Amino acid sequence: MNTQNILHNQQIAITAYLVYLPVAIALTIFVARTLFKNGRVFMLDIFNGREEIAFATNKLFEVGFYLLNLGFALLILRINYDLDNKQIMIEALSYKIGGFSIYLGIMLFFNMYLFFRGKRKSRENRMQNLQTAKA
Amino acid sequence: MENINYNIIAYLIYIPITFYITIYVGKVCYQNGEVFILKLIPHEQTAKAVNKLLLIGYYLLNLGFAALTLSYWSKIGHWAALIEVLCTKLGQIILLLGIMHLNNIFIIWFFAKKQLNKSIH
Repeated sequence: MNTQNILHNQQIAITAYLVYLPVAIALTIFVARTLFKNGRVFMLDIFNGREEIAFATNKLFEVGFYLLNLGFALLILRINYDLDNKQIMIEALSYKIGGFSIYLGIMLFFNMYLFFRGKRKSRENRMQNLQTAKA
Repeated sequence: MENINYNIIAYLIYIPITFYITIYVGKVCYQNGEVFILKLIPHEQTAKAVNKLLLIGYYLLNLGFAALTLSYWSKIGHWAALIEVLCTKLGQIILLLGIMHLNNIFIIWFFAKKQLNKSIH
């Protein structure tokens, strides 16, 4: 391969990265915002309406979510094969972004599972406390 | 054009971003973690001191690690490789921060649960 070709491939790779990065970061921010804006209600329920600790927990989980997903998005950025033309670039890009959004979806459902589980546990605890109070 | 040192450019981008992220995450955890430490250690002054010490320890560990890994970077030859290596390294350190953070949440949860059980029985 001559120098011209290598330079051309590098240029296409840069374009691909410049498309991938904003899309992945915007997706993560959008999902995290939506998840934790609605997570406050769950947290309030889990911590029996104690706002201070509920919002603190929510914020901590939000930071963890951002760190994990942004870290993963950056980690899988590298596209391993030579990008000879625009078609291969688009295919590689859509494979990456599609895979990343599936990963995000799984994380979203995992977080929702945690919220529902916490809610159930706190309700069970409250019932137990009520029963011991009666007895 | 030929003799740009891409490694130095990458370091100059990498260091501010990692330091900013580490310090920001530390600040958020420091502010929001106080409630939990207060629950574990009811004495307020001790709790604040413990929180501050934890923050300093966290900074030392993570900033030290971020600076330490600089010596293991491969040689960067062109702009595409610069983006690749930079993002991979940033991803590694952010993922590490995330895992440590969730680990901390788990530890706090574990201790809180233990204490709760003790107070009931």
